[in-house]
Amino acid sequence: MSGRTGRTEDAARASEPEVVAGADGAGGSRTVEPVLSVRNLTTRFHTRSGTVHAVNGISYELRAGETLALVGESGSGKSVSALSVMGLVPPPGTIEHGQVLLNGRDLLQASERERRDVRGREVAMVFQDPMTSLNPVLTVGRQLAEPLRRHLGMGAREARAASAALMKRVGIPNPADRLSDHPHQFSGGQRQRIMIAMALACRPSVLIADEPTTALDVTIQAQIVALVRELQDEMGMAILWITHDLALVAGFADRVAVMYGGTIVEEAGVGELYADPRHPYTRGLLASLPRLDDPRARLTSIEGRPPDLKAPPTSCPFASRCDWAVDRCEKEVPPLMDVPSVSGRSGPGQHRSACWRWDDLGGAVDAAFPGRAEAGEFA
Amino acid sequence: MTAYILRRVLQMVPLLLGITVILFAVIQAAPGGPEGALLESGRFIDPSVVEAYRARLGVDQPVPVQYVRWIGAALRGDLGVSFSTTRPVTEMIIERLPATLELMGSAFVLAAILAFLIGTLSAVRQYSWFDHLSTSASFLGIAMPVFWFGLILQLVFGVWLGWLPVAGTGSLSGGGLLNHLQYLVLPSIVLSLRYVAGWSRYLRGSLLGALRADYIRTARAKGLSEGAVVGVHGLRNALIPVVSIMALNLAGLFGGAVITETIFAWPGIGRMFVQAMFARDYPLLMGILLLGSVMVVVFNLVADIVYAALDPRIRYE
Repeated sequence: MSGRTGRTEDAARASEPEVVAGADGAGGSRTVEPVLSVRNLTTRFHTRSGTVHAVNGISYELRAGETLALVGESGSGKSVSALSVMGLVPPPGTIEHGQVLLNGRDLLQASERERRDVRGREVAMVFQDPMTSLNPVLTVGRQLAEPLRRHLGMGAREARAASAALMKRVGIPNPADRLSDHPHQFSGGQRQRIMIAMALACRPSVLIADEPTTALDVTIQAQIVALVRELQDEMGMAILWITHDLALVAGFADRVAVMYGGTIVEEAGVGELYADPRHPYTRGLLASLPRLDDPRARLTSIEGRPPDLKAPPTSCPFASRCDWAVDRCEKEVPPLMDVPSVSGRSGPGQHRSACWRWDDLGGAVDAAFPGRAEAGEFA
Repeated sequence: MTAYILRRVLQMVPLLLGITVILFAVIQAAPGGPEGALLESGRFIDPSVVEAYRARLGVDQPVPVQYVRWIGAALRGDLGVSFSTTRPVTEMIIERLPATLELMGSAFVLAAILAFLIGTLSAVRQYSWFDHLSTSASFLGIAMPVFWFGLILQLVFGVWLGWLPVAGTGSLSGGGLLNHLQYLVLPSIVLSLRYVAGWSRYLRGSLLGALRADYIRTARAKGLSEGAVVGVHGLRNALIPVVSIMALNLAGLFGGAVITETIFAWPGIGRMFVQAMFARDYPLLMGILLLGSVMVVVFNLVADIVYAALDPRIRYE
């Protein structure tokens, strides 16, 4: 862990001029200030059959060079919260309130025009399915050049050269020749590499990766993760990595935020989260991972169903499925509370849990995680 | 691609031969014959005169014999002589073809422009008042009989308002281009109506589908303007099926010209076709129908080629 932290800090320092160049206004205390600070973000979908409370007041911070994994099951609100940061929530979704501070500026207060200038330049996004996320009828050269021409004002020739360099950097062979190829002429892994090149074209300070490896073969997944980590070392951007795969993030995230029912239920450094989970849902997730060391062990699952998001939260969203639930869990929504961390450090952003009974829960999960060593090596 | 086109062209030959067999049989199956025009005059005509007339035209022979004679000549480029005018059919068609192509062309361009604008705006502003209005208007446009719509336009713009000529065609030499174009306006609108309605619907649906695609989200995530997102990423994809349908519909436009030309006394092939039908002018009918068949087959090929040209994922071997 300590080795990794050192790496990230070096990367952050190395990228310092980049980050400052990307931002306007704001003072010199950039190194300690988070590049992305999301506060009390609430996104709802007003559908005909009622309002869906997709994201219910989540807050997190992201510093330069840092990787925060946002983990949760389908419908937990992780993708919607990412799209909210981008300002790309599809109708009928609306951001009800909250702040999205990117390099100190609140994107939710910015005009659509200002947000367009930020998108792809200061904050970029890689999506889940590389097969459908590239436009099938435009050449990849054209699509790669778009952010360069749009944000950096490059001419056609300059953008073409830069696009070829980007393709080369993400590991596409013969990049100059392949600029005039269309997406279907590339493999799934190559397409995701191109998506990453496109997202990082303008060297954004924040990269949001929305399950970028889910649609890929396992061997390709590892390559993509390795590529993103390399690029993070080079460019020093902060990464918000959205996934449902706890094992995947174990190897490379700095911190993990677990989402459930539109809220963050627990957040901690990656090692701490596995060693000392303080929310029953996190514990359930860890317990449900298949074990490699004991082939006879049965897979455990979390009983019950995810909460109905049509009603505004009035209780702990996990209460109905929770073995630990007490009366208070049904009556009061637990806020994210600071938990003393194993490392002895405490304070905001160290270890937080939204469980009234976090104090009763300490210690590693019984049906231990498949071995963090393997996950670490894999990534 | 060249090999593909060549193969498709070769495939057309047996197809067109088959079509001529069916057309010939259907025309001959209709009651009455070319002598009907003589008999309808009401005067007594000696049956032997009628027989001699039929023998001179060759329609006294069994139908298969007539067909073999016709196809033999047609393969050598001779479509025969019109019963009613005794002029070569090829000559008559070539004489009338420019007027029809002019009407088809202007209706096609008009329909394409209007459908593009209406379809795009309806998709971008889905469920707006404009979208609802264009939806209703489209159903009306598809459902409305062409002849009725033509008569209404003639009444309103030709008779009541007097803005445009009711029918006919201004001579280019006499009245000049502007005068001639005035005559073109109403027939073009009438002929284009159902295509405006149809194509704008197709484009709306196709664009709505495209705008929901993941690559649109990617384009927005790059910070592209809404114009670039819709115009470049959306329309480039949405137009592929629509343009193919437009190419296919070109042949239908030829059929639509028949009715439109008749209403507006437009001196094209359509009107000549109607006259030929009443006169049982078999060679002229066969000539025009053959032209229509060739158009259908050729525009089908054009549609396939256009589809491949627009969609890089499609390649013909």
